[in-house]
Amino acid sequence: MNRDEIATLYDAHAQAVYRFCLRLCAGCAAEAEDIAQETWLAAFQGMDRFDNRAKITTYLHGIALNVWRKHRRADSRTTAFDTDALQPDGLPDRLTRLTLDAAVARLPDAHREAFVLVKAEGYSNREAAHLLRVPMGTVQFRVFQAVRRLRVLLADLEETR
Amino acid sequence: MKTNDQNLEAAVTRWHADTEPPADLRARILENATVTATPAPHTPHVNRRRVWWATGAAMAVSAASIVIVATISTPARPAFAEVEAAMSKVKTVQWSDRFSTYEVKTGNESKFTVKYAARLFPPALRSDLGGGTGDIITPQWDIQVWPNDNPPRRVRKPVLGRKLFNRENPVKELQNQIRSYFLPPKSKYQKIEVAEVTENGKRLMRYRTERRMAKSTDKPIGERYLSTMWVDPDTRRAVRVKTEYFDHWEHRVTIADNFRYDEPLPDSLFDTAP
Repeated sequence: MNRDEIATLYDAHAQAVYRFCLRLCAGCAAEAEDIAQETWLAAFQGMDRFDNRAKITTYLHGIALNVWRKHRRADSRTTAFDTDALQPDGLPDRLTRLTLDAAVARLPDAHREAFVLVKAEGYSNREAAHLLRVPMGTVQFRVFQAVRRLRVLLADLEETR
Repeated sequence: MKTNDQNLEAAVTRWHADTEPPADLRARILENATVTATPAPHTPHVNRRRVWWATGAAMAVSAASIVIVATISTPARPAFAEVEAAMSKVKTVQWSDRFSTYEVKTGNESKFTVKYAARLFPPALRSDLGGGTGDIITPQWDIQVWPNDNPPRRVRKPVLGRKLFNRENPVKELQNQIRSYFLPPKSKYQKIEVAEVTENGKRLMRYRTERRMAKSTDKPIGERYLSTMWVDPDTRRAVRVKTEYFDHWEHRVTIADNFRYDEPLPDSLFDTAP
C-alpha cells in the first residue's frame, strides 16, 4: 500500500474506528485515541491477511476489540468513572452521552463488548458472536444482562443528579 | 432520561455517533503507517478452497475410521465420533439453555433461560428469550422479535447483504452453527474422559473434557472451559450438555437439556416475513 492508499483507507473509516473505540472505552477520549492508533497501525501491518471476504469495518473493529482487551489486561485496575465530576450542562444530548458513558463504564468487560457491538454498532447477535468468538446464546445473554443492568444504573444516576 | 427500552435504544444509537477523531491522530497514524505498511499480495480463493476441501476430506476419513474402530471394539460404549455421527443426522431439535453467571468481584449471581427450536434441512434456528422476545435465523435473514416494545417490533436484516463472513455455503454454515449449540466443537474434545453413569435408573455415557487458554492467545490467562456431555448410549444422542467457564472475574455455567429430536416443527415457527 502506498501513502495515498493508506490515507484514503484511513479517511474512509477513521470515524467508524474512533467511535467504536470511544464506545468501548466508555467515553475516555485519551484511551480511545491510543486504541485507535494501535488499531490502525496493526491493521496496516496485517493488511496482507485481509482477503476482502469480510467488511473492512468488521476487520478494523475486530482489531480494535483485541487492542482494547490488551489494554484492559495491561491495566487491570477497574476504570472507575467519577460520576461526581459530571456536570450536566443542560444540553440533553450531552447529558445522555455522559450518563451512558458512566453507566457503560460500570458494565463487566464481556457485557460491554457485546452491548457495544450489538446495540451501538448494529451487529446482529450472530455477527457479534463471530467477532467475540463465543456462542450466539452467550452474546444474547450478555446483551440482555447489559441492558438490564444499564436500566438500573441509569435510574441510579438519575436519582443522584 | 427515561430508561425504558425504546429510549435506551435511541440513546445508544446516538451515543458518540457524531464524534470525529482528533485531527492530530491522523497525522500520527499516517506518519507511522508508511513505515510499517506492507503490500497486500494476491491470494487466489481457489487455492484456499482446495486446502479446505483437502482438510475436510482428511477429517472425514479420520472421523470415519474412528467410528469404524469404535463400532467394532466397543459397541456398548459409543465413541464420541459415533455420537457426532448420530447427532449429524438429526432433522429437528428443540432444547433449552439455562445460563447462570457468578461475578467473583461483586458476588452477583444471575440466571437466564433461552429456549431453542432448530430445523436442519433447510436450516433455521429460533431462540426465545421469554415472552416471545428472540431471534429467528435462516441462511438469508436475521430477525429480531421484540413483542413487548411499544409498538411491538420485528427487525429483519439480510445476512448475505452484510458480506461479513465467507458466504460460499451459508446453508452449511448455519447447520454447523446450530449443531455447535448441542454438540461442542471437536477441538474441545481432544482429550475425552469417558465414563458410564446411571441417572434415575437410566444408563448414560458421559464425555468430558477441559480446555485451558494458553498464554499465547489473546484471552486473559486463567480462562478455563469444562465441557460435559451426557449421551443416551442406545440412540447416541445428547440428553444434556453442560459447559462451565471460569476466569478471574466470572464463573459461567450453561446447561442445555430437555432435548426433543425429530419432532415435526411448523413452518410458521421460522416465519421470515417482515
